[in-house]
Amino acid sequence: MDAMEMSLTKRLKRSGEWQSQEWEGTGLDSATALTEEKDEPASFAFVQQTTADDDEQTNDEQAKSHEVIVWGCWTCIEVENKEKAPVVPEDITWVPREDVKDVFRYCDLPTRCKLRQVSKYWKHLVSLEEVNEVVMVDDSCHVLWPSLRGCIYAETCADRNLRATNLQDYRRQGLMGGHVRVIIYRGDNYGHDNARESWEAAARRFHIIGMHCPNVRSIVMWRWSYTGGCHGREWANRALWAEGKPLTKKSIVAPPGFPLIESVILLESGIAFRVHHRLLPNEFSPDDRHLQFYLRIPLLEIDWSSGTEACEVSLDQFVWPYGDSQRCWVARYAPLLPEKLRKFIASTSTVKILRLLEFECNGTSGRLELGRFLADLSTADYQSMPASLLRILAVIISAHRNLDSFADPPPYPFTDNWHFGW
Amino acid sequence: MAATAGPSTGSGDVKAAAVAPKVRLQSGDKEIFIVDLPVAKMSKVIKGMIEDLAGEEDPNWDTLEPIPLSNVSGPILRKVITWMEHHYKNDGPEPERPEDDLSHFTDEISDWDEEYIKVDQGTLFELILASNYLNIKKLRTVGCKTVANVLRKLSVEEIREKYNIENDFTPEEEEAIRKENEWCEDQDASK
Repeated sequence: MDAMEMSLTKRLKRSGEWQSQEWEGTGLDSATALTEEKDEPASFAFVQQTTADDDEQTNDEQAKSHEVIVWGCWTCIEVENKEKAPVVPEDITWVPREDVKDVFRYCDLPTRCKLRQVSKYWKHLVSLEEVNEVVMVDDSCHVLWPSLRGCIYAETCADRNLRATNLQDYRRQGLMGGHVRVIIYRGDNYGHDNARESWEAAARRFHIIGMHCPNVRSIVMWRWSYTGGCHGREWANRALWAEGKPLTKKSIVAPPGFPLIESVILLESGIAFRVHHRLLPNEFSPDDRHLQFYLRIPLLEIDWSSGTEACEVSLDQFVWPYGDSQRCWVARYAPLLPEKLRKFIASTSTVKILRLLEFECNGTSGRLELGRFLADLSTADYQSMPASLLRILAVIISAHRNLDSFADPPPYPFTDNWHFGW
Repeated sequence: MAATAGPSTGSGDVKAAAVAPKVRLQSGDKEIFIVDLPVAKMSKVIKGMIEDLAGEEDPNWDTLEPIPLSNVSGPILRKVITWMEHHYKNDGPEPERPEDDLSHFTDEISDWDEEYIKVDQGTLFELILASNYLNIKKLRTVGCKTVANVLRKLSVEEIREKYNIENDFTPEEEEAIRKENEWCEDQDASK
């Protein structure tokens, strides 16, 4: 095929008369051979009907009924892909209104703002309530980050968050309002352990939108990472999103939030844990000052449709998303850790980390019967060991500088989720 | 002209082709396509028609009249069938999703779909219309998202030019609306 394509696309514009004759057959060799006979002073045209059941067709070829017409003469060869498709206009003006509206539904908020400027018709279409039932926002929308990205509104007041007047514009323009049912927020730090925002802070800035979109049922946090351990289990509390919380200064009225909210969905998101503590100098690296690791959450729906205020959601499945082989690996190597590290594991430092993790993931720090598991790592029951403890052990074993002397490396993916450093 | 639509008759699909009954679909320009029954049923409209035609008895599919799809041209129907065959083979039948399902907003367009949808604008809109007519939600989503992604990357002027849209704002109106949306003018470069 390559030889044919190369020879056919070679355009040697010289001279020659165009004639045509029908050529039936699929042999590329024939075509190639013919094109190679450049010395023969005849002109030709081939019509090659490629059928859909040709096993070697490319995707594109499969997609179309190809009638490849090879025009040429021995000194001038061209390929023309003659489609049977009727001529369709290249513009969008013939596309029915409903289809254009469906395209607009998949546009994010900044794009919708842009589309309002294209024409009066588009301005009308993109402002329709049914187009704006789902609103997609990201950090570029300074309604969410009024202090960043050159906000054009005054920010001198302490309640600047409440003065995001562009929200009023959105509402007037139909891009936001009572018709909005879903907000999809797309973050840009998924998979990175550099998250600096807590869940509560995110909820607070979303509440500003709640003033203008009071009927939102669902909020999707997509590709977003937050810092765990700041406020414990508040992420699972409906009140945080529905009612809002007072801002820093008590005198400032809290935004009302989303009174009708039924769910917050974490999609391809994660939690970064960062515990500052002098661990064991020289055991990991000389500069170890904190332990940091990242929990990936592919999908988690916090469902409040039944009206529960605090949701019983466990993150154990994300803390320990591994199978038996990883559990056995921990069981094999934990007892082999140096005595100093084993003492560290049983120390208050580890307990602090474990409590943080447990509280964030399960809302309790008393569930762990640490003594039973940590008293002797050689006899500990690794099958019933809590997810958080398994995870911490895995991190410490993986990070230990003498790991190279162990018989086998940690099973994937232990090594991509932890980090020691400043 | 009767024709099969491509991959279904490829070597990897011999077993399925030997087992599955086939239906004939007729495009608006009278082109006939022979398609595996389960593949054709990825279109809810075709599925409904098949069920109506079949009745309660298991029919002889060879003798059934072709299913007329008058609103879809032959080349577009061929392209749609290619999409259905690929996704049936790789993903199976599309699962029923609840009305309030949001995954179509967040699902990424697959590499295969991205290649598949690399067509001229006219064909792309034809595919969007055809997927609506045939009720193939996933294909419609791919088409709409592709256009939305293009719109996101273009400036207002470029959109007008690309889609042949007349600017019918007065200069005053244009300036007013531009000011309203001043904040998002530099967003394209940041994405």
